[in-house]
Amino acid sequence: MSYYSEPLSNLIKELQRLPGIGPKTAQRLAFFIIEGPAANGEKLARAISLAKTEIRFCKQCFNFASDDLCPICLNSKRDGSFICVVEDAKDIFAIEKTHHFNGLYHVLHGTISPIDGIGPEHLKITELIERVKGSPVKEVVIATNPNVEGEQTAMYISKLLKECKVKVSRIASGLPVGGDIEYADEVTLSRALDGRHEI
Amino acid sequence: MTRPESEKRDLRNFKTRGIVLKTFKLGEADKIITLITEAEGKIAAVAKGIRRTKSRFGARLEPFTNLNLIFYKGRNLSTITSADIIKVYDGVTGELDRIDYGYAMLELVDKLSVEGQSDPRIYNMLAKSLDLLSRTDNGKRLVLSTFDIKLLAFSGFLPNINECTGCSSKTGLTDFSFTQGGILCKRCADSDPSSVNINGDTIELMRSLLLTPFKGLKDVKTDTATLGELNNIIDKHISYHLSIRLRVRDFIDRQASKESSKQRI
Repeated sequence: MSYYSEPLSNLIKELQRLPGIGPKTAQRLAFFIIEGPAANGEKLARAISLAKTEIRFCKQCFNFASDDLCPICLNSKRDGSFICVVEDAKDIFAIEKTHHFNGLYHVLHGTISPIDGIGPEHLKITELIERVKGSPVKEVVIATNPNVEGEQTAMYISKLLKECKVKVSRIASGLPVGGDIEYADEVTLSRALDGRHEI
Repeated sequence: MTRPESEKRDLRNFKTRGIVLKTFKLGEADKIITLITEAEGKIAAVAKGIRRTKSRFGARLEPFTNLNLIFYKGRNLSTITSADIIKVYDGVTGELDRIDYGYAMLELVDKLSVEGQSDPRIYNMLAKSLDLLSRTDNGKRLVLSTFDIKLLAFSGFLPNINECTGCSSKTGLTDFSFTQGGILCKRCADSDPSSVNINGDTIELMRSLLLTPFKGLKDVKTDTATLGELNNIIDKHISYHLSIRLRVRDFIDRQASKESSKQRI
């Protein structure tokens, strides 16, 4: 038996489908929406519907975009000779926040995962190779996650890119700044030692 | 009789060794880690906060890692409270074909093991096989095939390779039946339309891989065609009797056919 009227229980049910939202949070959000001004609710509904209809993949880098190209690919101040390959569009925002990379991106939309049946053909890898071939790209930086699947994907891409005669690099991995060597695991610590640099 | 409070607390914590089979994202920063353990068999447990950069687990709970673990038994899922590395099979993760073969081992253990049923032999064999796979340059596929046959034997899914499954004849063995789960002689094969031809060398290879310890594998002599037939039959046998598709083996086949079509061009 539902304690709520149908529109309200529908709203709670839909909110609950969002990641990280349980029944209690969904209920709180639903009450916030219906108790607030009608205009706010409409604004939220319009924003969701507009995002769903307007957002598509950038034709060049497969980031989310509202036009054919995303704002990063359209920006003439970005250095087109560097491409940073990421797993997910969310990773672009993490890298952009560092203000340390001024090149372009390429979003794979996943990683190779044999155990889940995901092969290179399910990702935007062919598109990356086509993009690099015959372009002024000097270096491809592979920034997939430093786990087994991310490393496997990086190895696969670098194997394919060898034929394109372009420099392929992998982001460094090691200790997080502010971390403690005492608590670091052996894999991370040995990578940090392998990737040491002269000061 | 009620147990004293201190003993109750101990019952909820348990220690064992285990190898990570697969991981699955849970919520914002957690993961569900599936492991094959020495004392408790297959376990799925939560690793809290592991996806955060400064997580104390770091890279410890990645597939192909052998660990000393402490779990806290929860009502549904257990939680991993401590993980210390025994060995990382980084020889496996450092090369593309080794990763694929390694994943094929992990997937088969995952599919053949049932939570709550412990068999230390499976944990020990997986550790040995991954170690050998990370060191072998020639015969990587042979390591996987040996692992498959030995694991099928431990799990009770090994096909009958000793005699004809129909009439127990020891000679004239020419076919393999997936429905009957073993080899057949010519006469029995005629009455089983689902049977396929099998080479005598392939039957011999199956028998020898079952009995040869991993350290003796370098002395096993075979050729690509025999090993290919063995793999094909074993993969189909697993799919038939477990009613599952082994995704990693499909992946390996897809990659191999892509490579060979590239070479043809």
